[in-house]
Amino acid sequence: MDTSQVLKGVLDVAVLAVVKQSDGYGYDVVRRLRAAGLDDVGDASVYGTLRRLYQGGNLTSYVVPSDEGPHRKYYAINAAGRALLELSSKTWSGFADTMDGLLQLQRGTAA
Amino acid sequence: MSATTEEMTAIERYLEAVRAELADLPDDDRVEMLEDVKAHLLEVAAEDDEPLETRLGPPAGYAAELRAAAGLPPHVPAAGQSAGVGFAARVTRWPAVEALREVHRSVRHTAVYREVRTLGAALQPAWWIARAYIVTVTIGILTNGGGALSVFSRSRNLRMLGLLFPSIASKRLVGFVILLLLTAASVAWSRAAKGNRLLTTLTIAGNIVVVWAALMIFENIGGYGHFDSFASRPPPAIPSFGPPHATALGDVVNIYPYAADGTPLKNVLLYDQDGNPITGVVTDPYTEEYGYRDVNGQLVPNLFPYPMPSRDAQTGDVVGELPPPSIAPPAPANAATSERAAPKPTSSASPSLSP
Repeated sequence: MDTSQVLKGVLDVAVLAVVKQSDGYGYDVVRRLRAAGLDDVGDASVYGTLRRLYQGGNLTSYVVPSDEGPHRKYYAINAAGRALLELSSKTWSGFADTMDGLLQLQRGTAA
Repeated sequence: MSATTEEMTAIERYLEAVRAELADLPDDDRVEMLEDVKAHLLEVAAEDDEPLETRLGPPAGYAAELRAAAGLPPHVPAAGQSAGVGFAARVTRWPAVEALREVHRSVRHTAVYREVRTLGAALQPAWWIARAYIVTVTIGILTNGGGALSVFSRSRNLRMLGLLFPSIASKRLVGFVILLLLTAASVAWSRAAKGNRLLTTLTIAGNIVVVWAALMIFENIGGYGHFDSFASRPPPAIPSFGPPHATALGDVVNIYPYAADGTPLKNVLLYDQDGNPITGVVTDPYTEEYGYRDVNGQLVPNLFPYPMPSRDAQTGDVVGELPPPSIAPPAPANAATSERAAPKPTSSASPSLSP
């Protein structure tokens, strides 16, 4: 099964979860998602998702000056983002349980 | 995070390509997103020596992914990039075009429509050649200055060939070469236009002009009588001295007046009921002017009979003059019966070949 299709639907939750752990700039979020096991995540998808969540008022951002290279734009979660993450987590849990049940049922029939 | 000059060039190039894909976005959005992209590219370049394209895929794909994730619509080329695309887009909103599209929607799933469509697709290459032919003939008419038939026939030995090779500037070879070039161009154009809305719109407009030109050509030919009869006339019987002109006489190319006693009349002026001169289809064989000159050098279109040049069968050169048709001596006037009210030429009345 192509995980990138599933990823499209849950990238918002994943990004919010990562940023909730600690503030991060774009590429930092990409790295942490990969480290968490989402190998298929596309760089541009993460950058786009961060931008959409920021514009939707679920993230705030601040710039950290850097001695070498350009300044880094850090994202931090806010109250709206936390609420969205909580809601999305519940939706995901319910969905995951349903899928688990379906797949176990199928496994039981097959056996 | 530091990048070498070489890396910077690669980054700039990639960034430029992404910029083009974001060109339709509002300024604020675009500038901010490009800042993010630049920062991203710098991070990636600093990570290892792998080329950006390998690591991130082509810029267009990167931009598409970025837009999709950011909740922005896919990139469509801005109207300003090509006035023609904007025009095509406007045309598709015309009420008449909308109505046509509605008709198209209602019939597109019928079996007849599919058949017609398949047939149309099969005939398309034929149309590509046909329109090149029509354009060639049109150029021929414009350059020859002698009407539609001048394009098809200059030499009576090559009359059927004239249909295949229309002459341009009175040269059959020129016409043939231009026909070949236009055919190639016509086919190449349609292949290039496939899937291109601007070119397709231009093609439709061009095709309408071509069809109009074709109708004009047939109209023009019709003015000289039937095309078939022209092409199938036996060569020796028709005096062919250049482009025929408009005629009041249809297929009649000359008139031989005879007196009641059978004496051929010369230099007879003919007029119709309104006093308008009646003219033949031929031009002066020597000057190719309309009508021919009388003894005073005056051009008289309705002076009959026209002199009929006799031509060499091989070269087509004028070698003499055709004698008037030989007719049976008419019956005496008082012997006229109910069957034949007036003396008539017999079947041998057509101009005969000179030896």
